Parts: sequence; structure tokens; C-alpha cells
Amino acid sequence: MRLATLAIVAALFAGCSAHVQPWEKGVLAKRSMALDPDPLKSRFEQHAYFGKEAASGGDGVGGGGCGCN
Amino acid sequence: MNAKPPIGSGLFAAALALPGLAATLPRAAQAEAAPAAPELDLRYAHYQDFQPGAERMRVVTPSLFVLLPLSDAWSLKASYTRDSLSGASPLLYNALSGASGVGVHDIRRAGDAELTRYFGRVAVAVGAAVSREDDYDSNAAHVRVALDSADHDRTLTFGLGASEDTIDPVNGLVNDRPRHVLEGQVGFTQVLTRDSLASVAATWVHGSGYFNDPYKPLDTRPDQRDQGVLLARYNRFFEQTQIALRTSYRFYADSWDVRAHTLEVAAEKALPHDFALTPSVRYYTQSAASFYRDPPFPEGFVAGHPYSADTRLAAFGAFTLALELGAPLPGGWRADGKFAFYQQRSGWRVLGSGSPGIEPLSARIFELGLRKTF
Repeated sequence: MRLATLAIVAALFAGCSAHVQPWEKGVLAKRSMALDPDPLKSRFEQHAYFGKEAASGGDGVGGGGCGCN
Repeated sequence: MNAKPPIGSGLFAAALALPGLAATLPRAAQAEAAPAAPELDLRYAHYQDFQPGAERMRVVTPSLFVLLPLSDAWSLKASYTRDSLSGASPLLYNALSGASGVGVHDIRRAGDAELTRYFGRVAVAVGAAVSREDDYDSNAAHVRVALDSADHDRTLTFGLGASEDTIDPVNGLVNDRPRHVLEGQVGFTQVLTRDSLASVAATWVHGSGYFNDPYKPLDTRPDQRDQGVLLARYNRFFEQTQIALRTSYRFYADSWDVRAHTLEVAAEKALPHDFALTPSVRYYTQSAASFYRDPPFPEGFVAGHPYSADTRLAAFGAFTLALELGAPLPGGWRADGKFAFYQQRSGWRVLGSGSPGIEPLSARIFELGLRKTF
């Protein structure tokens, strides 16, 4: 199921994207367009949610645990 | 839990070839090319949660991040966080502190470092993280490989991580009980157009060992937890309005029968003189763990069987509303201030009914940040 979902998403990506030239990537290079513009901030916020909710993770591996949940 | 390094973040590497862009490239856009300049981030955060008529847990968190380019082929990043936690846990969350009025005081010190080697279109990062509390120690390590396509329009990322944790509660219920965690992740990021990109990542986590909460009477959880997470993100920049829209959806499922959905949308509006305003909203919903039992405590408890009255394992929904202002400072520094309001209610659950008998839980979060790229 998960593999099928990934395959579908990958196919969608392949179908709707056209090659973007290096000189056209100025907008994508903005900090505001990064997937995680401020890792220190998102780290704190994910930590806060981790202490109050059952679900966590998805954005990386190997960060370690804590006693807040 | 620590937040983790961003995945699939190297697809902007081609932009490094553009004159003048390297100095403004975000850190997350440098997986396959060493960053051009050092960066220093300082952050102070204040978290306070409360229930009707009573303030509960307060957490004060100063943190620090440094990024150091060591050469054209190597970079190092590291961070340090100190959580100072005080107050009482929410009602029904923690029978020790909530019902008895006994307060909670703890300090958590956590640090991590990651070294990255860049090989053209490939980057390999290895990292380690440690966390120390009075009653919980964690040691973790990870390795991450990012592969850029020849046209730099897509990035494939693989990650492996492991952590060894030790739980040693101050009440002496148990001593030095271990927890082992193994994690694997595959991520894919694609440039869609000159102003949009998308990313998807699948993560698997296998945990074994001690999962009980030693401060909650009768809390008895399975000694194994398998988790699967699918995270999809889509960013788009609107040139006319100068708004960067960042969206994400996360599906979560685990072997305790928790199913959760998280939706987040943030719109960063660039303002004159390099100011920026970012409103954001987050919605979260989860089902209850198979062994969670509704109040009154300890109804449903059967000796020898998994049991928990921890309402973090109940069925509920939650909203977060936030507003952030970014501003330039003299000397190349940049400041940001953010306020967020969070509330969870059982009635806000979707795809099922919420657990009965739970008081709403709210939280106020203030954050102040300072950042400089040298």
C-alpha cells in the first residue's frame, strides 16, 4: 500500500514537471521556499507536539528520544 | 524528541552556479554542495499549557545552531538545546503530578552534530545526538545519503538511524530500563516548475523495550512499537503577491492502532524593507491506542494486559494558529518573533468520534530568533 502510494506520487511528479534551467531557480533558492526554512524552530515545535500527541516523526531519522512522551 | 534533519533538501544545488545566489541560499538547500558561509542561529522559546482554571506545564528553551563550511567538500553543523520544564502535568495525563499536586521539575540538555561530505551530486552525512534528563538518557546516530539528478531537478534521499535510550524514573518504579529504536527513511524531492516543488518521504520506525510511563499508575504498554509515517510537502511561490506557500500532509500509523493525520499550511508574505509576515495553521487528528481506556480511572484495567489512561493516547483533534514576523537587523542579523496558540479537544477529531471525559488542553508558545550568515 505504502509502496503503491509512493509509486503514484512519483508518477505524478514525473508527469507534471518540466526541466527547470539553473538560471530559472532563483525563486526556489529563497529561504522561504525551503522545505524546512528554520530547522531550529521546527525542532522546538516538533518537540512540543511530541509531548502532547501520539504521532510523531516523518521528517528525518536518528534524532534520539526524550522523556517527554 | 529532537526534530530531525530535513530530507531531500539538495535540489537547489544547481542554483549555486548563479552569481550572487550562494550567499542567500538557505541551509536546507545545500545537501550536495558545501555551504558557502557559516551561519549562527539563536532561539528562545517559551511554552505554557493550561486547562480550564489551571496552568499546567511550562517549558523554557534556549537553543543554538551553528553551520560551519570546513572546505569545498566538507561541512559541519551542530546544535545545543536546554529545556527547563516546570509545573504540573495536565489532569488525567499524569496522576502523580496532576492529582496529587506534586510539581514536576526537570532539565533536559540535548546536543547533536552532523558532518557532511560532498561528492558532486552525492552527499553523505553522519551524525550523532545525545540527550540527558534526570530520568531519561538518549544516545542516537544516523547516516544519510542524498543523490541529486544530473539536471538537479530531483533528489533521492536515504536515511538510517538508531537510538539507545535508558529510562530511570525518579520514583524508583524501575531502574535503567532500555529502549532500542531503529529507523529507516526514503525521500524524494522534485522541482515541478520554476516556482514550485514537492517532496514525499516514507519512514519506518521499529522500537523495542520499555514504553510504559512510570509516573502513571497501572500504565502498561506493549514492549514493541512499529511506526510508519508518510510525509508529503508542496511549496509554491506566488510572484505577484510575493507569497511563499508551504503545505504539508502527514499520515501516521503504528502497531498500537494509533492513526493520525496532520495538515499544515503557512503563507510567508514578503513585505517592504525585507520584513516578512507568516500566518500559519495546523490541524491534527488521531485515533486512540488499542489499550487506552476512557475514564473513570482505572476502569478497564486487567492485570497482565496492556493498559493506559494517558490521554495522549486518546482520540482527539487539535488546531494550532500562529503568526510570525521576520525583520532585518543591523550588521546582517535577522530577527523573528512568533506566537502560536494550540488547543486539543476530543470533539475536534475527524474520521471517528473523540474519546469522552477529556478536558480541553491549550498552549501558548512564544518564540524569538536571531540569525546571521557570515
